[in-house]
Amino acid sequence: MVPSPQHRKLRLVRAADIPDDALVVLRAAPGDSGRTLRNLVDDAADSAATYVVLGANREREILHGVSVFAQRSGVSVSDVLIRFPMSPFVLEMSVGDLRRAGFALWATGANPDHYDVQLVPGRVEGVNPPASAKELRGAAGRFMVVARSLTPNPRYAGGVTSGPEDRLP
Amino acid sequence: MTPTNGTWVVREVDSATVERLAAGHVPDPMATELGVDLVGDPNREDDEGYIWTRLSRSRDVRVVVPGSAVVLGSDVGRYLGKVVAWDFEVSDTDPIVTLELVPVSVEAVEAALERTRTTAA
Repeated sequence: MVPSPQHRKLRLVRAADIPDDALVVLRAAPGDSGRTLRNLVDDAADSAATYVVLGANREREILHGVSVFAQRSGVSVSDVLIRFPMSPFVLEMSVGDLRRAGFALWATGANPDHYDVQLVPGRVEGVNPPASAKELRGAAGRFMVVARSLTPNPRYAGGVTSGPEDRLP
Repeated sequence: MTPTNGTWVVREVDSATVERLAAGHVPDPMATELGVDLVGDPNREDDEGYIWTRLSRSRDVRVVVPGSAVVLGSDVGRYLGKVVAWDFEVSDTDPIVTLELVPVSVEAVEAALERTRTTAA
């Protein structure tokens, strides 16, 4: 895990791009729930050590972010996942389900289809410590509940995806 | 700036900086476990659309300098990448490493190189 810095990088947020509740978002994932949890915690911890977003009162909120990609109307899952041929599974969820579970979505970066889900909100740089590993595991577990299941990645080209679909907690 | 994938874009780092960072580096345990050059997730995009990780997530600093071909990996899978830059905005000792994914598998490159060895022999 990357140590926390004194001053994180300010993430570019696309202010005008507010995703609709009906929008489906996708994230390439490992083949089982244990490694999916580890991957989410690892990504959120690295993000928290690296980035902040500006909150409603211009406070520098630590971004415990995990990346997801929008599946726009008329675009297939396969098209969204074209660059993830070595990832056996995918997490799929609607923006509405994420919001109902208490997660905020930030439209981050230049890619209009890229978003960060804030796993642990409300931590202000210089005021609050970043989330602990235990807090991140709890939040990542709730995120996985929203996704319900790991779905096979139709673009997977890395070998045999053995075993039945892995139910998430 | 929007990256043009497949280009030769590289922001070079001087050798003194590489050696300074290599001297204090401890190999990342997950990178060692997974057998990759850098721990990094292909889902993660920075503001320019590049994949990003941190230098502390590498096994060996000297093999992940800008311009290097590397195996990037996490529980999500192993991907071939090209290191584009080290970004020191957040830390002088643990820069952000930005990469482009190379749209072929590690195994495909290994097979291609093996064919050249066979042909040469």
